[in-house]
Amino acid sequence: MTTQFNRRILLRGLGGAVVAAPFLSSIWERTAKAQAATVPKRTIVMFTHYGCITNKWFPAKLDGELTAADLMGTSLEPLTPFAKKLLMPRGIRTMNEWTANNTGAGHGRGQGNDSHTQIAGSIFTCQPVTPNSDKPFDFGDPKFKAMPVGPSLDHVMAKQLSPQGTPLFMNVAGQSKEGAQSAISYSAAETIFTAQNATQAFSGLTNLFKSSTPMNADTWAISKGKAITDIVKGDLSRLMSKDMSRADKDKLAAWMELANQVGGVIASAQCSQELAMTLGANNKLGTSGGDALTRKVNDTMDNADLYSAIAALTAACNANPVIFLKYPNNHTFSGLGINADSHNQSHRLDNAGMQGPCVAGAVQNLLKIDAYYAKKFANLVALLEGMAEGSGTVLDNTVAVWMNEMSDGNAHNLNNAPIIQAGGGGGYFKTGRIINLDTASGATAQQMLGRSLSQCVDGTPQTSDGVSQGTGTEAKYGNMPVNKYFCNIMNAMGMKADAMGYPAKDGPASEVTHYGYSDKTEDFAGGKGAVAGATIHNPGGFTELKA
Amino acid sequence: MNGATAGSGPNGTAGSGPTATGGTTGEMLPPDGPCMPGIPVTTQIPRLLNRQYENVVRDLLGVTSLDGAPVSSALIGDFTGPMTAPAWRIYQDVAAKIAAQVMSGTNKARFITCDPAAAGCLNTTIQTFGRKAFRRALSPEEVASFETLSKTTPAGTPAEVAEATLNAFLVSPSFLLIPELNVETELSATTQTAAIKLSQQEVATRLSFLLWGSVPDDALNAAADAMQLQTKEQILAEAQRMIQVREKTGPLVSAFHDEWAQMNNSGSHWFKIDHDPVKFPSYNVAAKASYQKELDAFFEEVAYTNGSFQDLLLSNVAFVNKDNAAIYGLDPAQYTADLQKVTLDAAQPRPGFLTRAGFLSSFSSYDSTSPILRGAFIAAWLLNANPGAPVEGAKDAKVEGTFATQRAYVEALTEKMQPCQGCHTVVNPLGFALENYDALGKWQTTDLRGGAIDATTTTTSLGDGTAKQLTSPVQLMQGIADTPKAKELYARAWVSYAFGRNPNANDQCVVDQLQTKLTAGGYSILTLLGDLTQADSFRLRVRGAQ
Repeated sequence: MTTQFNRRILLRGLGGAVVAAPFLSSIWERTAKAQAATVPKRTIVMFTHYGCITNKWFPAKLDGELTAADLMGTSLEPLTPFAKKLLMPRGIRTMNEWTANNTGAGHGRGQGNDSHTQIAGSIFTCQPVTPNSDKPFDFGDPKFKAMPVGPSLDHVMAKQLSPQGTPLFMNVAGQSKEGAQSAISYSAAETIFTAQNATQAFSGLTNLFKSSTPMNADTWAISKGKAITDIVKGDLSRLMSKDMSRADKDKLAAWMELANQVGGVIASAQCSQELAMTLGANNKLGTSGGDALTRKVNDTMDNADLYSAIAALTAACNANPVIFLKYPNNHTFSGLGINADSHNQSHRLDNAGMQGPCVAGAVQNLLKIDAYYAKKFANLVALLEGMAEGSGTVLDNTVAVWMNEMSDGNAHNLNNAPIIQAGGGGGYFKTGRIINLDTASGATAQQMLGRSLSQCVDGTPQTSDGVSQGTGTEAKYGNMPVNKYFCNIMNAMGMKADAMGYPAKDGPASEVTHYGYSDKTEDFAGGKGAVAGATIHNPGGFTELKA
Repeated sequence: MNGATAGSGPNGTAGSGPTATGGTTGEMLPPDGPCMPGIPVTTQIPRLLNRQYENVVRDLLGVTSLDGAPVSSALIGDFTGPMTAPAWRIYQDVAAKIAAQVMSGTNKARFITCDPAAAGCLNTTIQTFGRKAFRRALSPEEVASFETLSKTTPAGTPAEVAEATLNAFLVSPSFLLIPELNVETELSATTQTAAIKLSQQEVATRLSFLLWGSVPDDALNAAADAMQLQTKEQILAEAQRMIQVREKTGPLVSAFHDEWAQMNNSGSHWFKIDHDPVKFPSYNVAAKASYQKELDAFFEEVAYTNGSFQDLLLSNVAFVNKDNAAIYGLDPAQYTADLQKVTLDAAQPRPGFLTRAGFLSSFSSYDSTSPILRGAFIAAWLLNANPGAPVEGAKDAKVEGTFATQRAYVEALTEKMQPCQGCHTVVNPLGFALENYDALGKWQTTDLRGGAIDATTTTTSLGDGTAKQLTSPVQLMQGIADTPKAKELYARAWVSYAFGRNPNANDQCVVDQLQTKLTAGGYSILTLLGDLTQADSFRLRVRGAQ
């Protein structure tokens, strides 16, 4: 069904497109808001675990125009049709890297918890995790359950930008309960945010579809909905009047606020059943064959693509401007012919250790997975590009980013992060470019390909060694902080900041310059407060990325 | 820890916090640690877990599926913390669907048995159904609140109003939460300070959610209304009645053991792997569907035949159908598609749940056994055996040569040098003891690699920690059953699951008591379940800071 990716669907302007929704069980009413006149923007983040084979993922070019030719022969080849709309920021590192030397403040590159727990917890929060561990190899339980001490980017953004105050966060394999070792979405300190599955996310959109007949406000459906809401509010009030802890009363107050919400979603005029069908967005996940991601929905889509289609529909309907698609940890890609756990494969082993003889075919399998992910991202980008919006496309007004948990999965290094962005965020970002942000390190393009192929490949040692980080990029290269990139994204989305430059819903500042606990990974060692002077050392977004 | 000694500091405040007035208020849950007598601070408004929501709509309304799927799968995954916008939206959507389904089908009489157009019908329905849904009688104010549904402009038809009434109940906080609002106090025997006493209806609700994961039945509601749940003895008598309702308590027992065995842990290996059909021509993909069902049936059956903790590890009972029969060396032609109880004979020992197909197959590799996965599961989750940190300074691990058995390969791979040795000399023996079960779970005496299986091992991880030689899987399982830590972990898991809170120093006192009984022997699982209702913290509570 390649035609569906090429067909342009004109989205008429938002002005006057106030649509009264059928008052089903949703308490949202439709009101016109001042924001209706501005061009919608949205951020979609696709997140995958366990790094990539960097030598094949990154193009040979470190800085310059990004052309289709640059992507040919790399794992990102599926993105060649969109080269002009891509942006590859290079030389970035994410925070709180695990190494064998992370034995406390002043040592190593972060906390000594676990090479997945602390990375997952810190990647979008830029906060340390708690409880801290200074014993990188210990197996004591709490360190694997450690969680960040602040909220993640999706929530910080959604608090300002989303009508619901929360992001649309989906687990693409339908995995319902992720623990601290792999969860990336935290609505507050140590509070994991639960994902929606395809059915739940899609049902939130069907409520927005433009109905063919205008709604009469005087219907039983509406009066019933109001009466039920009043019953709920009465119940909450009676509960709140009882003797209760502060914490419990706050919970009831939060529920009351949801029940009181009348502001809502301004769905775009073309948000409709027809648009959903054209995108292939629905809740009919494939149920047989392959694995949870690769199970086929139809000839051209698998389950992962279905989640991307829901993301694209959410974007086009303006249902939520903050959308995260999280791919699973510990996944067996049996649909790709890989009958081993993806975590073990990332270590080129047949077990969950970090050292040992290479398992046959590991690198080939990892390349297959990288190619699969690239295809999924390309399919998402194609859906966004296929919808016209204003003078361009939905993609032009989107920041779509594929971010990985780490650079090389065996080395679990966080420098030289593999990041690929599609869409300029409504003219904020440069596009069609690879931009090297860490020129000061003097790394060559060759060095920035990393060393993923330095073990377990013909002609290299047949021993995998994750402890030495030998398959990562050398530590001195590619260390510009991701906090700055997150500031770029927040500014592209028009977020406000407080006087210090941290995101703040009511301003007064109009530019975000500070995000997180620190933008130096070494500041995370020992946990919160252990390293004196932990702060944002390099505020502001990357000016090099701005159009 | 705050330096408090056991027995000091009521309610876990251990000297900290300005709000330790009387014994009815406290700080947060005391951190995990040795027993500190006291009643932990609890929220007064816990929300139904999805598994409880599913049971409740089944018991109240006969609803067993929604859009062809289990009701719990329609809900946002369990989380504590305040209500979120997506979760609230989903609750409303699901409530509307359930109300529509019930009113248009044969379950309608579970909600309403009169004509909604008739005078007084809705009023009676609100009170009768409300008593069950809210687990207490509704106040006149609450009844009037529901009656506003018949007074809207525009109005609905009587049938529409009835459906809206059911819808309203299913989204009410008093339904979705389990509020504990009573304010009377009582002296706690363990701490000799006052704590808040639960009302009779609140005790009944705790009983039914603990033992059934659902709302009280009519008999329990009547006992509460008649004030018959006041003493520990009365509560125990009612609990024993409820435990004998196997169709309600059995599934909870199975669900607990699934949780204890890490089946709900998304990082675990349960049910994730297939096997190579070339190396294992007898591999039957259809058997996968039976794995979890068999284990659930096993756990329930052990409990309901008066079994104890050690029977979980030693019982020869299996549940067999035509798909998994061959794994147990039985003739598939003798079985139907339905699982049936079989006592496996000792020719091929099958002690306990760790020798059932579900575990053995899941904790293997695609094309071979994995003594490491099996051993690590036992070490980590049953024995809490911390192997200690490996020595740094890794050397290249080389494994050359051919190996006659998987065991020989794994020994060469992991036991010859550090840093691998540290963990693997603890983990491996526990897995080697199971090498007579191949990757499918079938009994084998010859390894796929050609050599004879040698499952004799020595371990210091079992029992009293002295070296033990294991020459059969039965000895391994008896060893686990004899290990104090294994019993403690089992007791802890029960306390956390039953009370719905993380391990903490107050509850550790209950864990210690249960562990003593588990050690004495002959302590059945169902007796343990009843004993959970005897803790002071079952009838009394402490409120958090204001």
